[in-house]
Amino acid sequence: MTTTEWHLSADLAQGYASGEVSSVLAASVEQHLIRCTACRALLAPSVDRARLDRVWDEVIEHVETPRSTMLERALRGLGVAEGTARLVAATPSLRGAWSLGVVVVLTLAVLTAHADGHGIALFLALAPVLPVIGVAYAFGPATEPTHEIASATPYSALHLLAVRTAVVVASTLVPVAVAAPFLPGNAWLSVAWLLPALALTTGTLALATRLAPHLAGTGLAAAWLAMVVPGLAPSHDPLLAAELPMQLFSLAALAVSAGVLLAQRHDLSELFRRTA
Amino acid sequence: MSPTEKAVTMDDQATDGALLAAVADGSTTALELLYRRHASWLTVRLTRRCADPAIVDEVLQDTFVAVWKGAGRYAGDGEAAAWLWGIAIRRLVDAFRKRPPAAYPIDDHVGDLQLMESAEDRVLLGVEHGDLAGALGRLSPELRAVVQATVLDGLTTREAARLLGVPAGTVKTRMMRARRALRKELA
Repeated sequence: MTTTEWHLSADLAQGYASGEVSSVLAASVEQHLIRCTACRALLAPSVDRARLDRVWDEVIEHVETPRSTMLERALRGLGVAEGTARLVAATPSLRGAWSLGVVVVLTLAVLTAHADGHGIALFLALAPVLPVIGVAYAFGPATEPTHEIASATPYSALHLLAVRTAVVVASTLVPVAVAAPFLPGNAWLSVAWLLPALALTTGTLALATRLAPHLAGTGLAAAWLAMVVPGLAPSHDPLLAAELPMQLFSLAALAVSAGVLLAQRHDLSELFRRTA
Repeated sequence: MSPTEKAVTMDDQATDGALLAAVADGSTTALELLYRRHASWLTVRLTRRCADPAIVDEVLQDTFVAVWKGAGRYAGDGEAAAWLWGIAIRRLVDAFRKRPPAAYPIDDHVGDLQLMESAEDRVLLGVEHGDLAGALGRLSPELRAVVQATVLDGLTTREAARLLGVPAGTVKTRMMRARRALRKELA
């Protein structure tokens, strides 16, 4: 719309930039600026160059940061704080290699179960341990490229542990749940792993209030395997892990761990509130 | 876009449209040229709507990060400056959604009434004759702020409500009252 030869005078540009002209006049200045490169240039001296440079540095930093992963964007979309989302997305157990490992182990376990009546014991022993190893793997300094970032963020290790554990457990339980129905035999077997899995991860969380998380996770995983490995021997009951005593034991362990976590709930809720 | 257009050299002579096309192709040089060209007036215009320089800087930053991600959505027709402002004003609304608006400066000088009104402003306001500038100037600051946000900044009722820190219903009633006042005065 070329209505006029009207342009900003130096005074008007100055007055507009300093907020001295009325809003009605400012409105016409603004309508004009949209269409007039020369008048836009008149405003350049009104803004501190160093200030614009500072903002530009921020822009280029954002632009050159690697694009966030889909997982990170999804978490941000759910209202997770930016720092938390990045740390969760950078969790080693959530990378492709780990997920692939989980799928391979599960596939082998299911195949073994079909090949040999005893193979089911392998699945029942491994399935509950996978989320725990995932959690331990998520925290070991040796496997953690973002360990320094994680240590430098204003979250406590416990909060980080809680967030990551939730995500790792969820992401590991899904493939396990998908694999379970392919097991031969009793339908009960396809859910028998769930209670030990929950007990082990809750136990890891509870222990992590006192121990380094990866130590807690590996320790518990080792203890679990020591208990169920006898089931792998041909002379023993392959369904050891699914039998009532082991299930009751898992339930008790889950209750104790949940109790410990509840006792710490004040600390936990503090930690969550701080980042909410 | 033809190959010759794409080969536009990235310098001060390049049009905004060419720069935006280069940004869409991932050129940070083009983004910087665009920033150097538009950051000042955007800052000034944002400052008239938000008194807090920290928020203005943040909005300016968000705007150019959004340009980087969304340059491909620039249709190529129409003023690039208008497109940039459309992003900036919405980033400002978003910033106000995160924290309550410090102030939406409304001044009460009605002395210099040289409104360069455009036909589209008249249509949007539903007034066709008379001294629009004078009539606008005589609106109460609250009504004028609503006219500015909806008509001049092109915001929706909800966006204007966030910008002004009032409920959407209030924006609607104020806009109705502003229209009525203008029509009455210009009839």
